[in-house]
Amino acid sequence: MLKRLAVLCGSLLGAMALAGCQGGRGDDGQFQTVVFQSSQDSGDRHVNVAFFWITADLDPAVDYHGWVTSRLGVGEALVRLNDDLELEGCIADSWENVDETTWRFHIRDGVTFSNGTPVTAESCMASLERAVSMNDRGAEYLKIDSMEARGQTLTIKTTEPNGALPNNLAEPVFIITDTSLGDEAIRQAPVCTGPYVVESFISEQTAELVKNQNYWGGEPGLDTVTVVQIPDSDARAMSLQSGEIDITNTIDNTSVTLFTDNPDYKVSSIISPRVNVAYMNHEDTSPLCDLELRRAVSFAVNREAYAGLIGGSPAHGAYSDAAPFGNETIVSFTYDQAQAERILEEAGYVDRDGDGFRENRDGSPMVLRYLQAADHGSADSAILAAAVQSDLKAVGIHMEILAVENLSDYQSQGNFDFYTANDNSAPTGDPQVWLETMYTGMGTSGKKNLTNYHNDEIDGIVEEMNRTFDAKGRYELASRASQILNDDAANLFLTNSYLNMVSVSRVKNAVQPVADYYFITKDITVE
Amino acid sequence: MAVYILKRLARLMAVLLGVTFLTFIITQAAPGDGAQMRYVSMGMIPSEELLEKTREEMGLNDPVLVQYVRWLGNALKGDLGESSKFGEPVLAQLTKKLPQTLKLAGTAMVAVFGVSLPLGILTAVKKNKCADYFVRVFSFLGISMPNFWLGLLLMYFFAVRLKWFRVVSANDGMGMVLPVAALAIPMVSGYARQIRGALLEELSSNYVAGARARGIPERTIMLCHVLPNAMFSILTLAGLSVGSLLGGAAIIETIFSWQGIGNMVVEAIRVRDYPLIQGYVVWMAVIYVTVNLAVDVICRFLDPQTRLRGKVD
Amino acid sequence: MRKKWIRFSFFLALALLVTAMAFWGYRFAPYDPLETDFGAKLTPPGREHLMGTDNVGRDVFSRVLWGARNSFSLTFLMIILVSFMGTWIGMASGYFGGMVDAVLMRLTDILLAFPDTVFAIAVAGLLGPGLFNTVVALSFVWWTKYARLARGLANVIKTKDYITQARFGGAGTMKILVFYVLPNIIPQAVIMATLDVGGMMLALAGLSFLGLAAQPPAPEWGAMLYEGKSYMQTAPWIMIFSGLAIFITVMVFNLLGDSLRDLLDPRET
Repeated sequence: MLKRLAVLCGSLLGAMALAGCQGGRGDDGQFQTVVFQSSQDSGDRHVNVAFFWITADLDPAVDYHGWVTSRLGVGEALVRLNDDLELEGCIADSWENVDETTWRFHIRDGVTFSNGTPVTAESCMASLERAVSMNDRGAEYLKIDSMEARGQTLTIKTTEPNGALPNNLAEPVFIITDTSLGDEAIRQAPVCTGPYVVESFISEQTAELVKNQNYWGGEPGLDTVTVVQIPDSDARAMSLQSGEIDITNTIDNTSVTLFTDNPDYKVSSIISPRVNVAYMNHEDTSPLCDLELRRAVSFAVNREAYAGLIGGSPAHGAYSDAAPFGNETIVSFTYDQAQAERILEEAGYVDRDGDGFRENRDGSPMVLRYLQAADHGSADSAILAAAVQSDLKAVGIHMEILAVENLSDYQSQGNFDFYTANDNSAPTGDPQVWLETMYTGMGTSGKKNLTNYHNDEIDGIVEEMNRTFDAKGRYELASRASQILNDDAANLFLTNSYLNMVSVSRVKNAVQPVADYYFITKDITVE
Repeated sequence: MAVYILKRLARLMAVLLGVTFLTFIITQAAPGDGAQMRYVSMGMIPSEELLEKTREEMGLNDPVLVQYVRWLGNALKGDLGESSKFGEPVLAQLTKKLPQTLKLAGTAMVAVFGVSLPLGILTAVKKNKCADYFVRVFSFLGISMPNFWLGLLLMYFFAVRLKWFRVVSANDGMGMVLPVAALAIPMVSGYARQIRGALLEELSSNYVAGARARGIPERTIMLCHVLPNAMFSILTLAGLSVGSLLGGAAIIETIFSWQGIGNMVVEAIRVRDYPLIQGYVVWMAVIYVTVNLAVDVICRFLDPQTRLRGKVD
Repeated sequence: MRKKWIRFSFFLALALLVTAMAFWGYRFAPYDPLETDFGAKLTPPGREHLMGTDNVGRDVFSRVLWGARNSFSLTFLMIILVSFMGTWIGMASGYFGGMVDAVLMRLTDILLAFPDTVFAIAVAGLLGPGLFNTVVALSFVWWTKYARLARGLANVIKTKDYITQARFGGAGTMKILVFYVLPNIIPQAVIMATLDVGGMMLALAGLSFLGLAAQPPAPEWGAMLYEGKSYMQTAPWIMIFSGLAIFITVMVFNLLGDSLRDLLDPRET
């Protein structure tokens, strides 16, 4: 018996040793333990930052990965957006519109990549060409015919008039990288011009940054930064409380109350260009193809109350109030339950069977399917869904919520009446991209117009925007488009989202930028 | 013995064949087929003709059995398909994430038996005494508590309030404490009771009465006779616990942001990454049955009785 | 023995109370569980709202009551179905043996190869999340436990003298199964089923927590706990009460199962 026991113990030990090996193997490479430095005991100026998303790689030309490269403070584009969403110089210090299809950019003197190589028009051209060839969005945004580099002057010719070009160049897909490094290096540690440099990177987990000794814009405020991915909003908030991280953003509105009025933390919040929209299906397979029903629904939702629930402000139209597109001049829907009911009655949506819900005009039962997807690990979309559901119920409309984790398969089948998204209405500070992508079927950009909205006037405005080169004129067009979309009750524009950044008190200048592809700036520092 | 092992291996093969087939069939029933998924992942809405053509190309129009054999053939070569979420082979994802889960589950298992074994012995020896009742109350509380609730409470008190541990688990000793505790505590409660039961059954057998009659001290009886004999049922319990650990890990990993296979599959479900889900199930089942086979073989190897009795079944 | 009876009766009464609450409790809900009241969001427990309100002002108490109906009644019916089916299949298989038995055992081998939560995760992942899908997935695996139990017992019982006597006495197969074999299996199956109620509740709550079972805004305890997670610090009552509901229900059934085992199965304790 004892002998057997010995064998048993032996095999157990063996198994444990094996398990130990397993763990050990996991430790190298992919799953490095992240050692959080505490800046108090080392003399370094270090902060730990949590992002809700770290991409699989840092190549700005791939999908939306550039957004993260930009948030890291690693990558910069030719131009950038300030907090009024107006265009400012960055790597380029001036630009002009030579003729309808020609633009000339002057590349700032003295800008170098973090490896010391000077940034010339030549290197910018190589980087832009790479972005355009690798990314559909890149190609659509610029519509480049040819480029020419001479010294510090970059000339861009477009295939057609493209008034949105300067603004669109602010999009992080156009981050200027040193293309001589090759794709693999760019994926892991792109060499760009921002205040920080990638020292090490683990896909979807962490990025270690050090300051860029050669930064053109002055001395960065920190020596080292550790950025970790924490997708869940609550976990981000709790990590801040437990002291694991020093800065994070996009904390849910309710959790923000844990940090406001607390001297240990600083909260910076702004109205962002993001809008919470319940998109309405305009296909005739959906009851919402009827304008009257859409109008009734638009009157039935209490935007003010929603803003109170999830934070932010009530939306006035397709564009966020953060964008300078004249939202204050347009007439938009207000909460008016009686009006909604009146429209429904007049249009023939009545409750015939007395179940408390109105039927379709032909008497068949009407149940609107509302697809709700979680966004950035936040609870907001669920709250909005419940809120819209109860408001519609109040006017006798039966709405069913489908919480789906992946909208695209429903969307591609047109199998929905509403779907929600928290979308950036001015990703480049310019009104055109958003309008073109979501409300026209033009070109390939039309692929995101999943609601099949169509209005010739909107198409016309987009055409006109192409040929309008001054910002003011473009903003006016945007305001006109916005009014048309409101009159059409194109979608349910619910709230303009808050964006917040919370930092511990020893961190200085952690301010949430309005354009949400910025985050870590040279100004952030510690005491 | 060799014959026995061979027999069991053959049965294992049959089970695995069944497991893979069942998984394959469920995948077939999933809404949206591979052809559609391919286009959806590219953000395209394909026409019916294009879909049909792709289906033909991908062999989706073949009889299910043919498709299964092809899939199994590929799977045996290590090709479980490509994960749409991570854009790399499923196998690569699994091998990357599995060690993390094994580490968590393995540590939790050591914790579970490290605690429940002494508790089981204590309560068996002190049957119906104060300690027994105490453990009993504790175990009822433990097994009735949802592990995610426990996990959140632990996180709140020990990470947020006391700041002893981290909210987002680092992959080190300290970082493992909370997830392991959340995973282990409900199980300890159950197993302490079961081990107690197994020991009591042994204690009530004739040879114990005989030993007692011969004046052998209780401690010796427990350590040299009862415990080794009860070891078989305890080992079997350990084998079965692997199932709960692997299942429970999915929830605990999500709460503690642990980069394991459970967290991965929840993410995969979000984006409907079917090949990855499929790979996950097959692997979990393989691990589970293999561990239990190993446990059976060990028990049989150690136990003269089963050897004599012949078929265990 | 009397003490055991008292203990059993006590827990049975509690379990019946919980069951009654689950089937009829929602009638006493003071509010509509889906009715939102933005003005009253995140109200702490008080006179108006016994257990406070959640993030859109829904009454937590009403949601807990309705949650019982959603999660508990389905679990309860499913366990009854699964245990009944599993027991019969296992009993027949054990009693008759042969080919049927061999096939059945291989089938259970396959199903038991899936850890139950893992299987439910897979089904939810592949066939789409939903309370019904996950309950079916769990049942699909769980009946095998009853089949194995019943088969094992039937194997032993069929060699007993009284079965042989009954057969000589002219009793048909059906009669033997129902009157002689089944009564010997039922106690064990009932114990298992009672304990499984808790197990399935926990499994379902966990899956709802992952967003794989009940879908919001349906009131379901696991899903409510998930929603409450974000308010753990600002409005802890959401999480506390939904968690307590699961905890108490599971505990009552575990205690009942345990006392039943004490009563019916003298081997232990």
